[in-house]
Amino acid sequence: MSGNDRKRGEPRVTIGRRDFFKVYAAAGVAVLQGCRRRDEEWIESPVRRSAALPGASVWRRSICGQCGAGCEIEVRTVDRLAKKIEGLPEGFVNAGGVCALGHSALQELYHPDRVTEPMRRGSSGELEPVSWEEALETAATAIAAAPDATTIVAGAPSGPLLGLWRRFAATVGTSPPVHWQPADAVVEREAARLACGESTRPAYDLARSDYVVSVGAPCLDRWRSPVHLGAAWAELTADRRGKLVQVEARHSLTAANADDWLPVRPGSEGFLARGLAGLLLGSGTVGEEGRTAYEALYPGAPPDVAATAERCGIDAGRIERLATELSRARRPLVMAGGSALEGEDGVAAGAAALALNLLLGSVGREGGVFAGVDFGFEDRLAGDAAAALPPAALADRLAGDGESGVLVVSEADPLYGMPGLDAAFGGAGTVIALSAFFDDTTLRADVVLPVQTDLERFQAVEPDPVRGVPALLIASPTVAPRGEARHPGDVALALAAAAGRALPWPGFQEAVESALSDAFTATRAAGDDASDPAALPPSLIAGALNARQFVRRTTDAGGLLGTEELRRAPTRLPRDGGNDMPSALPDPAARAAPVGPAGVESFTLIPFESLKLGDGRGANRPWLQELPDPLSTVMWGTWAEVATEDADRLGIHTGDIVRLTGTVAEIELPAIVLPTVRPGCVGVPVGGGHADYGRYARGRGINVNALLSTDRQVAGAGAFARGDLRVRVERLRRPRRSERPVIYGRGLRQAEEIPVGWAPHDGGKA
Amino acid sequence: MTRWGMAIDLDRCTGCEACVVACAAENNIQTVGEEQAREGRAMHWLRIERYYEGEFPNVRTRFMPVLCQQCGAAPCEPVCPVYATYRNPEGLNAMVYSRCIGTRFCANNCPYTVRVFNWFDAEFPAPLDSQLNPDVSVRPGGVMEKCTFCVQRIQAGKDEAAQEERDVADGDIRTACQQSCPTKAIAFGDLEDPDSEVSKWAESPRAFSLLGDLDTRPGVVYLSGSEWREPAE
Amino acid sequence: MTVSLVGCGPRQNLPTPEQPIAYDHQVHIEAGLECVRCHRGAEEGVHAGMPSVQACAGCHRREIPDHPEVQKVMLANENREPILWAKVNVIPDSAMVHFNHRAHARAGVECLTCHGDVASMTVAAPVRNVADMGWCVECHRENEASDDCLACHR
Repeated sequence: MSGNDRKRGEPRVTIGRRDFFKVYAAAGVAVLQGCRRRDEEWIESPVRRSAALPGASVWRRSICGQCGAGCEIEVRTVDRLAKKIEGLPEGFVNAGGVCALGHSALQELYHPDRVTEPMRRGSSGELEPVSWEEALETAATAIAAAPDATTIVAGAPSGPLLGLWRRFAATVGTSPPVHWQPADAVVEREAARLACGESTRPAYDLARSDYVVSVGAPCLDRWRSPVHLGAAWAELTADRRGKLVQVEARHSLTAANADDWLPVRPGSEGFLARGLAGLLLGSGTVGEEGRTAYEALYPGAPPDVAATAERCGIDAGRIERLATELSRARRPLVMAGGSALEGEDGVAAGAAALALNLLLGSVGREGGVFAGVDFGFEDRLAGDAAAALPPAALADRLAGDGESGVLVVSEADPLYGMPGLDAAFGGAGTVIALSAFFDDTTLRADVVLPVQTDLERFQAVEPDPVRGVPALLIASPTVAPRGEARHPGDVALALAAAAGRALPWPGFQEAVESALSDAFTATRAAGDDASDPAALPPSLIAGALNARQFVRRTTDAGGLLGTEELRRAPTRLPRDGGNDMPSALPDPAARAAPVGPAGVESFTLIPFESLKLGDGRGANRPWLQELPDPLSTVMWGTWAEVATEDADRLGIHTGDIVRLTGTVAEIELPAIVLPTVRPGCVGVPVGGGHADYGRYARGRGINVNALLSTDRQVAGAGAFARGDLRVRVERLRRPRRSERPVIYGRGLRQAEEIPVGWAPHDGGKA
Repeated sequence: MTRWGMAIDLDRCTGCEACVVACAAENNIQTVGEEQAREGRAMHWLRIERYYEGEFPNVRTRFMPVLCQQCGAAPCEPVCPVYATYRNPEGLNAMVYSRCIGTRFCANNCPYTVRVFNWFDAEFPAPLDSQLNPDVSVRPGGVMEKCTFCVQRIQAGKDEAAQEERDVADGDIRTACQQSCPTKAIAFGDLEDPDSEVSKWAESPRAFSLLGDLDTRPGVVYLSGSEWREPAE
Repeated sequence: MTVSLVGCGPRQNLPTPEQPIAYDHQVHIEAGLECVRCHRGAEEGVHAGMPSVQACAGCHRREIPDHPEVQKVMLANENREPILWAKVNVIPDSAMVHFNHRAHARAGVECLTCHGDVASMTVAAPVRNVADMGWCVECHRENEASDDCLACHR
C-alpha cells in the first residue's frame, strides 16, 4: 500500500495501526514514556460517516467472478471491509452454495502482493510506478501506432465484458480479441454445433434425469458450474433415484462420486460413444426418429462391442451393461466435457457423445439436453464487431505481429497456460497487461494497468448457460477498490479514448445500461414478433414505462432472470439452409489408435484442473494452497498420480521424485501412488509452478503446461490440445526433505480402508 | 434446554471441500505454510477423510467430513489440567483459549484427532488481516483450537433474537460449513427440539455416530445408506 | 446487593491515557449531546464505536472551528485521515473477550456502571478495571446472566 491510498479517502485500517502511531509519535503526541503501546490500546475513528452502526455486519449482494458460472453471493462487510462470502440462498445458479474457489476471492482481494498502481518499464528496465494518465498514454500511443499489429487477449468469461473488448477491437482497428478460455469450453461449443446444431455449450437437466452418463465431464470437480451441478447431482441421486456413470480415464472427484466409473483408455471416449450407439441401435429400444437423426450424422456402421472393449481397454460386459441401463432409463442423458474433449480428436469425441442424446430422444425434454441460451449481451455490447478468436489463434497472431506488435492482455495469463508461447512473446514489441497480480504474463509487460477484483467492481455477467435458462446478473461493488485499481472495462474504454478512438460510453456500467436501454426499445418495437433477435422476451419489460425506468428497475433487481419456459431444444438448421454443417460428422471410431514411442515406459499424461487451484488462478490463495486435495490429500505442491501396478513395476513409492519427459520439455515432481489410477496413465494437476503471482504461488509446485506444445491442437476447434500426450516416466530418487509432498495424513486411523465404528445415534439424549 | 447438534448426510457429500474453506474464512484459521504443513501442523478444524475400498478398476471412494464431534462424554475434557476445555450447558465442547496452557493432552486423547495446536503465532500479512472475522479471536501460539460449531454465530443468533424479543427459531443459526455446502449435506440446530431439522435427520434409520462404540456420545450425527458401519445383528 | 460503582476500584492502577486531541466530554454533554450521538452503537450495536472524523468536522465547521484542538480534527478531515484515540477502557486482546454493548444495554446496565460519570469528566479516565473478570462474573451471577465462558470468550 502506498501513500496514494490516503488521498482516496479510505479508512486506512489496512496500513497497520503501528505505522500510524509512528506519525503521531514523531509529532510528540501521546507517547507513553519508554513503552511501546500495543494495537489493542488504540481505537480508530473512521474517516467517513456510515449508515451502519460501528462493527455491524452489512451484507452486500455480488456475483462471484472466479469462474463463469455466475454464482450470486452475499459479502459480509464490517466497517467497509469484506469478511466473508456466502451463497445467496435465492441465487439463480447456486441456490445458496459457494465453492472453495469462490470463498477464496477474499484472499485475492486482500492479497499482500497485489498490483494496486499503474506501472511502466523505465529506462533501467524495471517496472516503475506511474500515474494512470502516463500509463494510458504510453499504452494508447503504442496501440494507435500499429493497430493492425495489435493483438488483444481477453480472459473474461463470455458476456458483456468480452463484448466490450470485441467492440474495442473493431473501433480501434485491431484484429478481434483472442478469447483466452479453457480448451474444453471451445471444443464443447464446436462439438455441440456439430451434434446439436448450435454452437453454445449445452444445458443439462441432471436433476430431473434418472440416468446420466458423463463422458469426461468433471461436473463435480471444476467444470462449468460446480455448485449448480453438485446440487443437481444431489437431486439426481437422492434416495438412490438416479445414477451417474462417469466415463473418464482419470479417477476425478466426479468419478469418485459416480455410481459407476468406466476408466476407459484416454482418447477412446469417442470410440466408446460410437460403440454404445451400436449396442443401442441393435437393442430395438431406439425410436425411429432418433435412429434417423443419428444415422444421418453417422452413416457408417458403428464398431461392435468387442472392438470397443479392445480399444477402450475395459470389459465388454461393462459396456453392455451401460448400454442396457441407458436403454432402460426413462430419462437418460449424456454429457461431454473435460479430458474427453482435450485430445487432438476432441471435437469428434465430444460430438459422438452428445449425438447419443439424439438416439435416446433426450434432446429438449425434461431431464435431457437443452440449448445453452442467453440474452445475447455479449453481442449487444459488441455491436457488429466480429466474434472473438479461439485461444490457439494467439500463436498465429504473435508470429504475425512481429517486433512492432503490441499485445494487450486483460485478465489472462497465456504464458502460464501455454509456456510454449514464450519465444513468440519475446518477439512482441510492447506488452500491456491489465492485471491485479504479477502473473507469468504480467512479469513480461511493459505497461501494467491494475484492475479491480470481483468484489471491488461493478458486475454484469451472463452466467454459464448450464441451466438452459438465460439470465443477465448485475451487481454493484461491495467494497472500495484497493489503491488505484480500476474496472477492466473502464480501462478498455480509457485506452480507446486515449488512442483517439473513443467508444460511445464513459464506463463499463454505462455501456451495460445503454445495452439494456437498447434492448428495451427493440423489444417494444418488436411487439409480438418473436423473431427479432434484438428483442427480449416481452414479459421481461412488462410494467416498465420507458427505457430509463427499465434500466433502473433491472439494475436495482440485480439483473434479468429468465424462467424455465425459455428453455428450448437446440434447433438444428436444415443442411441446405446455407449453413456450413458437414453432411456427416467425423467418426472417432474411424481413427487409428495412437501408438506410443517404442521401447520406453510410455504413459499418457492427464493434466487436470483440481478444485483447489483450477487453471492456476487459485494458486495465490493460502487457503487453497493449504487445502488438501480431496483425493490425493496433497497440500501446497504439484504431484504425479501413478497407478499401484505401474509403481510396483518401476519401483516408485509415494513421495519419490519422478521425471516426466515429453516432446518439448521435462518436469520433475513427487509421485503419489494411488489404487485408482488407470495403469499406463499419469495424472498431474494444473495450477502449480508460477514464476511469480505473489508470495503464496511463486515457485511452488510445477507447471505441467510446460509439457504442452503449441503445435498440438484440437482439430477444428482452435484450441491447444492438452490430452493424449505421451510422456516417459522415470523414477529419479527418494525425495530430499524439502521435496517431500505435503500429504495431509491426519485421520481417524492411518489407513485407507473404510473405518467401521458404529453405534445407533442417541438422538442427542445423552 | 438446548443441545446444539449437527447432522451430515454422507450420501450427499461430494468431498468438494467448500466447507473447509468456509470454515477457515469464518474462524480466522491460520495457514501455516508449506514447511509447517509438511510437519503435520496444518490447522483445519474440518477435514474431508477419503477412503478407498477395492482394487482398480472396481474402486469405491467415500468421503467423510470430520470435525469436533462435540461429545457428550468428551475424552478431551477430563485430561485438561486447567479446565480450558469443558462441556457447556448447551452441549458444546467449549475451548477457552485464554485459559489454555498448551499441554496438548486433549489432542492426544481425542479419538477423532480434530484438535489442532498453534505451534506459532498466526501470521496474516497486511492487508490479508482485513478479512479477519472480528467476532472470533486470533489465537496466539501455544494454544489448542478446534471446531466450535461457530459459537460466535450461536451467540449472535441469540443476541439478534433477544434484540427482537423473540426466541431463536430453527434455522436462524447456520454454521459456516452448512451455509456453504452446494449439496446441502449439513443440518444444524437443537437436538433437544424434536421439530428441528437436525433432530429429524438424527431420527433417520441411516443415522450413526462416528466411532460410536467408544461411547463418546457425539453431537454430530452421520447419515449414510452405505456400509460405513457393521451390518445390523 | 448492588455492584460496587464509581470510585471503589483501585484507580491508582488505571492510568489515564493521553489523547492525540484534548477532547472534553463534559463540554460536549453540557452542550446537549447524548452519549449515543457520537458512540452510536452503545445501545443498539455490538460496539459503541467512535464518531467519524467527518461527523466531528461537520459540527465544528460551525462550532469554534478555530480552536487549536478542533483544528487537529479539521486537518484530519481535510487529509481524510482517521484519528487514533487512546482506548480508555482496555480489555486486552489476550483475554479474547468479545464484549457486546447492546446485550448489556438490553439488560438495563447503565453506561456509568463500567465507564463512570464520563459526563463530568474533562479528560476521559477509567474508573473500573474493565478487564477484571471477577467483577464481570460477579455482576453476571447477581443478574442471572450466563456465566458460561463462551458467553464472552471465543
